[in-house]
Amino acid sequence: MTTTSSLLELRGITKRFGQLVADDHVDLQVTEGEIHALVGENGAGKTTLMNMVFGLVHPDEGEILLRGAPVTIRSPLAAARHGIGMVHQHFKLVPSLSAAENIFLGREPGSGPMLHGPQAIRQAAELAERYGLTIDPAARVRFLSVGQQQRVEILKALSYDAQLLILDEPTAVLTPQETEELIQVVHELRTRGKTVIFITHKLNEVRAVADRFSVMRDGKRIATVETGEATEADIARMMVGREVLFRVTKPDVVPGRTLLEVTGLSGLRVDGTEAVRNVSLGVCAGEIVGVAGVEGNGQSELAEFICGLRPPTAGRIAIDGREVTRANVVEHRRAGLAFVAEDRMDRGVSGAMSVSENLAGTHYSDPGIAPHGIVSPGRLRRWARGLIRRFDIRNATPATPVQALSGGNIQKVVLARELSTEPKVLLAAQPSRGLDVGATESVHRTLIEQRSQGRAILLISSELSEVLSLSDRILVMYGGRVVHETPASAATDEGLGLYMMGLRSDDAGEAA
Amino acid sequence: MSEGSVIDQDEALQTRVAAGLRSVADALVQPALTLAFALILGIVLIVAIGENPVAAYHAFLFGSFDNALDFGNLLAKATPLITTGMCVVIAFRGGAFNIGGEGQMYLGAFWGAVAGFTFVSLPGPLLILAIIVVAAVAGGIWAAIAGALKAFWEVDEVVSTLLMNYIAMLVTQYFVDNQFRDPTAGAPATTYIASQAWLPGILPPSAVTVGLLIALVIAIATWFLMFRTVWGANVRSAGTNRRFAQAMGVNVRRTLIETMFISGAIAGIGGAIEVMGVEHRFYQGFSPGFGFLGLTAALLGRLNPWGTLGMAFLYAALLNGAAIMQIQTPVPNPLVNILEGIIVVIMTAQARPRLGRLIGRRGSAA
Repeated sequence: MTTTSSLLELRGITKRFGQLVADDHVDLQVTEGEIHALVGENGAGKTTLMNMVFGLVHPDEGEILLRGAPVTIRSPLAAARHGIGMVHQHFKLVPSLSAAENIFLGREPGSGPMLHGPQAIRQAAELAERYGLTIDPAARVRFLSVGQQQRVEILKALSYDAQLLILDEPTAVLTPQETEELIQVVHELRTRGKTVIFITHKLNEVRAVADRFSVMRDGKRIATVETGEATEADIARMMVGREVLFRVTKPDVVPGRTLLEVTGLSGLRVDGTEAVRNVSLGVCAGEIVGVAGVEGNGQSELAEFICGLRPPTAGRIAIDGREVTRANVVEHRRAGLAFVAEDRMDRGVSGAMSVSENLAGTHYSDPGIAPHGIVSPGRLRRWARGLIRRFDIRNATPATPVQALSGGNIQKVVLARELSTEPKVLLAAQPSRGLDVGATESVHRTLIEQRSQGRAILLISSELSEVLSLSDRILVMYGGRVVHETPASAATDEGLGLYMMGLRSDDAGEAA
Repeated sequence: MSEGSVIDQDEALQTRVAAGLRSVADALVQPALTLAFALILGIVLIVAIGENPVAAYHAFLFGSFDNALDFGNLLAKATPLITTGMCVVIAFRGGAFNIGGEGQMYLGAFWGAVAGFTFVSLPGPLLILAIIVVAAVAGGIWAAIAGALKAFWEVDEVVSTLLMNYIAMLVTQYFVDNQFRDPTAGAPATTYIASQAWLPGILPPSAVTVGLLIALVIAIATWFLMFRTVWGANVRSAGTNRRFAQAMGVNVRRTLIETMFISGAIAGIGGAIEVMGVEHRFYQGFSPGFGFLGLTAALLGRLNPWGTLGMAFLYAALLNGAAIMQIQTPVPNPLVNILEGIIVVIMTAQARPRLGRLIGRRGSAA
């Protein structure tokens, strides 16, 4: 680094939400022109810290210095005036407007009340070119891919002439290829003299993108390190505070008979468009079959069909030889299916209800809990307490509302409920989504254990590394079809990425 | 699963009792603060119209407890609020915003009365039972129609139940004006039901009858149904997260219709209790809006059966106190309507987060 002047400095920043201390006397120094990764588990205080820099949240204590001068940042608008831009995890774009209109929303070029479309598009195109971010400025945002939408967000921040750009978990929604491109964009921004703070909890990205990184844990900054001086294992240890087991070791299991068999399955989305076309797959006892793919390529619907939450239009689904194609959820579960829904707050739990009631969701027909349709509170509580212990659900009593738990513990509630039905087939959709390193590790360990116990596991995940490390066989879905099948041992990141993008297909004749 | 040691269980019991007390306190603190705030505003109003707030509030707050007659009248006023409140608790817990309790109660009262003057040969207890069953079916079907409309065609139940109130009341109006009119009655009303079905008073000469006991049984049954049965657990999971309930295998459509039926049935029984206990006939103007007062009581009671029960009594005390205040002091009765309005506004204004934090702090300190 040629200059060592500090662009942003935080001194003793503290933020409390009620009893929770989100950030506890955090000092942080970001050098002008560097890419600084901010890493840590969920709830470590990264986003809150950056929201304070962006003026969305105000610190209780401490000061923020920009180029050595203390500043008070009251609002995102003030942050923009100070040259600070932020791209949030959830985009804040208007889908029905064009990319250019989104970029200049609220400050449309030209004068008077009339919109000057062509001018905005020209300016947006210039801006995009300057930073090497190719987009179509006239395209409506709703037709753009997630990666392109993110570029619009970045351009929007840059259009305020931001010198410091904060990206909050920008890769969470991207494919490996898009991630690759984003990393190039970030490097390009650095050569243009911009400073970037890159929030992430993915270790490989830290190494790929950052000059330096700071680790946050429990609201405190643990360390700031030059990237070259740390291995991924070092970073993980600092984040979690203990050694993390990376490579899941899978014991050898001889696959048994086929427990889940899907043949020629097709079906529609809620809006009536085709979601899944002619998908066939089988999962044997003691086997994990991974379904990789960029989200929105039919995986969610495939899961709903297999669970009996929606009827497919054609094909056949059999669980341990029993056909359940058009049967309801109860029939599927009775045949031996359990499932971890892709969005735990959506189908996985009822947040307002207690842990015990969420656990009991699939067990009300059990006379040990509810004899004759009448719930026995004592038995329910004892049974729930047993599961809380067995699945190590932290900070939970049977009466705790589920929404008071952390994401990882909520996922444990889901797993505890689903696995306690002793299923033959487990469908796990995005089982580690939004979980931090420690919680992800625990979910993965559980899945491996279940595999050893001879369950057939269908793992649907858009997290490629997860599919690669857990699966015995891997399928790739693109455009509602299975475009690729391979043993996990023969699969690579890059290779699968090409299939996920639809650039390659096993069935070349049908490839788009 | 191993049984915990005795000490373990003792501790568990203690924490459970503590948690129970805390949840009851939680359920009561918020409405109490709301009421206190409304009453303070009331003082301002009373002073503004030049009356003595001390005398007025003495009559208003304590008048109902001065003697057995006034206390009995308070209980009589609470009776229909308990049933319409439970009607709301069940529906809202199931995610069905049934605000048609008034109409369901009207139909229950009307068809209950018809049963009461039709099956005159039945002995008292059987006739009472028959009236209750007929009223429950009438109110239940009326509500279930709105439930089915929502389940199959996604018709907003707030709109349908609200509008069906008017239909129900106009239908009963039509009947008492025509086929079922008792020409000897001064107002639109049916003939009297058989006297063996008149519910006996329990604090004569006040207006309270064994109808209050029926309402209390309904309150207990509501709690049991919602919090001790698998059906209730499924209703509540459908009410808090419909898509989760589906994933657990709950048939959410059927559950919605069942929920509405039970909810409307309870409102209908409430109407029948009024017929059997108070008017002894169906009288078109018998309700001063019990359905909506019950709604307020249920919301103030946080849709908790016990909280709602408490609020029904409190609300009845307000109504009764207003009547007594009007008799004993020059303060006009509409003041209490203004107070009611203020209470509802404050309640919907959601002072909750801050209060919630206050309560939370105390809870964790304990």
